[in-house]
Amino acid sequence: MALTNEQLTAIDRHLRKENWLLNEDLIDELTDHYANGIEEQLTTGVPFELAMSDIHKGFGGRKGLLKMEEDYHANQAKGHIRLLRSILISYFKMPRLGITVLSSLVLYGLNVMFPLSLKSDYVGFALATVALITYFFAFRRLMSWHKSGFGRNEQVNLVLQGFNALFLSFFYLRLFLPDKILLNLHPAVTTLICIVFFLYEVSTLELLMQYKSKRLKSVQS
Amino acid sequence: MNSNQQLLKGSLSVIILKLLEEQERMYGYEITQKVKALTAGQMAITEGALYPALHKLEAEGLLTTETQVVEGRARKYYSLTKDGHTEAVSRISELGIMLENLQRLLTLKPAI
Repeated sequence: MALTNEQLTAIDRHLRKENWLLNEDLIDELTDHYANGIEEQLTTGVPFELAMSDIHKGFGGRKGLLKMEEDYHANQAKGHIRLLRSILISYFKMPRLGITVLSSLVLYGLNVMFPLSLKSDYVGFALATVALITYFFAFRRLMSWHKSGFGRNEQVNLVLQGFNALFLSFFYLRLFLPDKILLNLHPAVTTLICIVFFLYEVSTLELLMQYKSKRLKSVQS
Repeated sequence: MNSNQQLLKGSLSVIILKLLEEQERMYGYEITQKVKALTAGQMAITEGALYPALHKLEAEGLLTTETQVVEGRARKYYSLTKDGHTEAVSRISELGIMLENLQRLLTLKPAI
């Protein structure tokens, strides 16, 4: 027996207002659970309110739900760190090690040839603009994948992330290193700084895209 | 909590991994119903135990999720990752050995 909109609203109110839940993902998941459980009980003649109260008990009441939300946040944080670490490590293993080596060589070359041009305001502004534009296109691609349901193109993803990270690493370098330090540092050191930002950016962007791709894959069952 | 539920809670992660090995993807409510059906209602997983276990397995990288809109509601499906498949085999085997040993202990005849 499908629930009415009023009944679905009552479940939402129950979770948010009466049980003080805030996390949208958890609320979505629990709403589906409540709805399934209530639908089943309604077919056996149990009234809506009683069915909802029965499921609420199964969660351990408000205390149980709030504890679940607290644990959910802790688990999410743990999951993010684990995933980010595994992505970062992948850049030191084949086949991605090639990207790390190639980027290091390119960055080293740029640091030897143009140590200060990276700091020019114009260059900095241009780099930030290009980074924003590429981010915009990255997300547009992402949205079209979700809408069409096409598979993810890993290579295009990687190139896009690579560009973003490259531009942003230059931008960071420009922000954090004063001229004097930049000129006195061996290019290998500045390259190392660049590559740290580069890998961090690439990995966080990939992490973000992985999370985005999990959300609402298709409409309709 | 009765003793049946206490035993169930201790082996909940193995039950989830086993069910997901059998069925490619499942959502929370489906898992509770499956356990109830398979044990003819003898065992029931409470919601308060199931979801934290699912979230923990996801954080450990053993489960992955995807959300789909079903009947106008967002439904979160869980499935095993590559590591999850390996871990499922290992945990199921460990639990099997433990149950065998437990059985041996419970059927121990008193020494004459």
